[in-house]
Amino acid sequence: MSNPHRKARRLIRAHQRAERGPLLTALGVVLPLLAAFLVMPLFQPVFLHFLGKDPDGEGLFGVLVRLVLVLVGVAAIDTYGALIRSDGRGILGLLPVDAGEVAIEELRDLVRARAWLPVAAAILLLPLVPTLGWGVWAASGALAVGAWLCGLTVSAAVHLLAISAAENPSFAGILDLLRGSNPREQAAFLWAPGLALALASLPAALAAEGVRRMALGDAAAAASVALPPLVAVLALGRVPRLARSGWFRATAVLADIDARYAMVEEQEEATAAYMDWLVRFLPEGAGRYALKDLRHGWRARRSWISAMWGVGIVAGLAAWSGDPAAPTRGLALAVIGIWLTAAIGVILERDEPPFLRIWLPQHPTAQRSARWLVLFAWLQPAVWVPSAVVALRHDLSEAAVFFGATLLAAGLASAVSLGCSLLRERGLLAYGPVAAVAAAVFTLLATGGLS
Amino acid sequence: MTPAVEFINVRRTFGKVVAVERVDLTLARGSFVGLIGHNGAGKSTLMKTLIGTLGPSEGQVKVCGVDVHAQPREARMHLGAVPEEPAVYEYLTAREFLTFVAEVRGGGDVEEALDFTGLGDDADRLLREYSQGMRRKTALAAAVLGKPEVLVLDESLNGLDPPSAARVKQYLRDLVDAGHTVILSTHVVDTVQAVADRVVMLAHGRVVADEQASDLGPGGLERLFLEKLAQTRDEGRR
Repeated sequence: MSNPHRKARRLIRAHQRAERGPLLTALGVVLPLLAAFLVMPLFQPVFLHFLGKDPDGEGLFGVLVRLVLVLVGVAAIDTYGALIRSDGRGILGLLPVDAGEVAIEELRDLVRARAWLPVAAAILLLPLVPTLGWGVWAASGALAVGAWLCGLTVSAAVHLLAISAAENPSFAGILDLLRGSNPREQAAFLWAPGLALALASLPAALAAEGVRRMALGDAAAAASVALPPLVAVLALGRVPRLARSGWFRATAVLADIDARYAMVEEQEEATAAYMDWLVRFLPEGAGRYALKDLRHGWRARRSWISAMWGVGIVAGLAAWSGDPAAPTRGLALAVIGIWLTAAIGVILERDEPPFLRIWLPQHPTAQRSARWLVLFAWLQPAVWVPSAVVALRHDLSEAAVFFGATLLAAGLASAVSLGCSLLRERGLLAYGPVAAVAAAVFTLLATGGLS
Repeated sequence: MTPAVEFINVRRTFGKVVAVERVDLTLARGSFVGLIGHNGAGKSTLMKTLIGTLGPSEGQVKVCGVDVHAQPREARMHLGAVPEEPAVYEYLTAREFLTFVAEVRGGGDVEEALDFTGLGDDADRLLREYSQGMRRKTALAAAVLGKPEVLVLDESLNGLDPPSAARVKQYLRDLVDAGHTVILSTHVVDTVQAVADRVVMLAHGRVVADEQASDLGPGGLERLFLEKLAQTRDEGRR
């Protein structure tokens, strides 16, 4: 008998394709790759500046390791969404499904949906070809694909194990140490991506070392790129069994976690939102809409908004080095982070319930200016933190250029996001390539200003 | 023969809040059980422990002798459920969704399920185009596919239009007469009085009444409900 999950998912994709039409379906595949081609000129001077002056291959190794860490990290977070917090859990969790089959189908869907990611990584590495040749590029591309698959399967196994860890009283002590202010069970899921990253990065780093040696003339070392796929196959073999023992129970564990989060949410938190003090400085009309966006955005996309502090810190760390090129690297990271996070403006509009648009009077100027301001405010950590670092570590004139450039990027990204959000459901499709081009052009111009 | 459902000393807490307190209930096969209670009485929590979406803090829940939490897949083979907020695949038609569920369950008459819920004319529309009421009917149709031994309905008859509600009630009655067990949780007393053989009343997480519906007489359930509610409230004050 055919696999009912596979059959249902095939039908779902067919209906989605029919609704979107052939053009949008094709664009969904082509745009991420096009964006990678467009970002390539930005990637080259910032991350591949070592080319041609890298006699021991350390630069190549460094960039490959960082790239696979990003791919494995994305895979780990995606796997949490697919296996633990999937939308299908509410449907399948009530049926006598084979959880092993469900887990494999979720991973297949993930591979299908995110296949562009390692391909885009390989495109970003194309500037290796003129200096190191097609062979090294092909090995690097294979490493990207293998490491990503390894990340997916290792992370799947780790997340399924995390369900048992979350429930197991013998882990209570260690989970209490790690949980911070989160429910104990959530600690297992919070740390699972980190553990998956550590486990999957090891074979990926060994493979990156093989590519480095290959670039230095040791052709046989290229065989090491087979290591991550091999680990991927081994991990995949464990997934069905782990899913059969844990997948169903995760529903109850998640219900516990959500109930505890709801209880720890203090009264104050129920009314306050990050940056809501901004509203005091706004006229009443725009202030009302700004407060709505601040509250809804903070409660629905809190981790995304908080991640801007992460972007600011990462960009600041990149700028901290004494290397004169460090502010340039910091600026590139800050600008990329700003353009990525500004996409939240499109998502806010997409999330807006249709009845609001129908029932409530519309004040487009107040609504749009409020949303622009809210987006601009959320992006500020990526402006202020690295600018302060450049001022401390380099000099004030560089810091002023850095500050001006990131502030301008935040303003532009907010405006572009706002413009694309008018397309509602299709806004992200438009925002993706526009943001990629704008980020590339903007960073090239701005880094030119710094150097 | 093992009972259809057993709640064995089930307790469920959320931090310091006790949602369900020491519930011991055995539901025989071939019975239609109405679970009633005020808002926040613990009905949905108890139903969730039965369908496995929430674990009990203490105690055990069994369906046809199978522990719902220790053997989740085996328990679900005996169980059909419509939760308070049912989920469906938005990008499938009702017919495709029900066919999928029938395949997972290893059988079931999709046309019959569409027919008794009155979804036949809309069966080939995507579920994302359905109203909330139609989605609820779809979830109900999915729950009865393969005629599981135990059917759990959490507030599932609320919001159905009168002809559909009548058709569904008759279908459920036929299932019970054929030896299946239906558990309907609701706060609408009239619905329970109209369909259930046995009424279990929860208040503040405890079972405060467990009666045969035939013993209550016309309007008796509502009187009992109000009386027990007042009684538990007074006990709470003392």
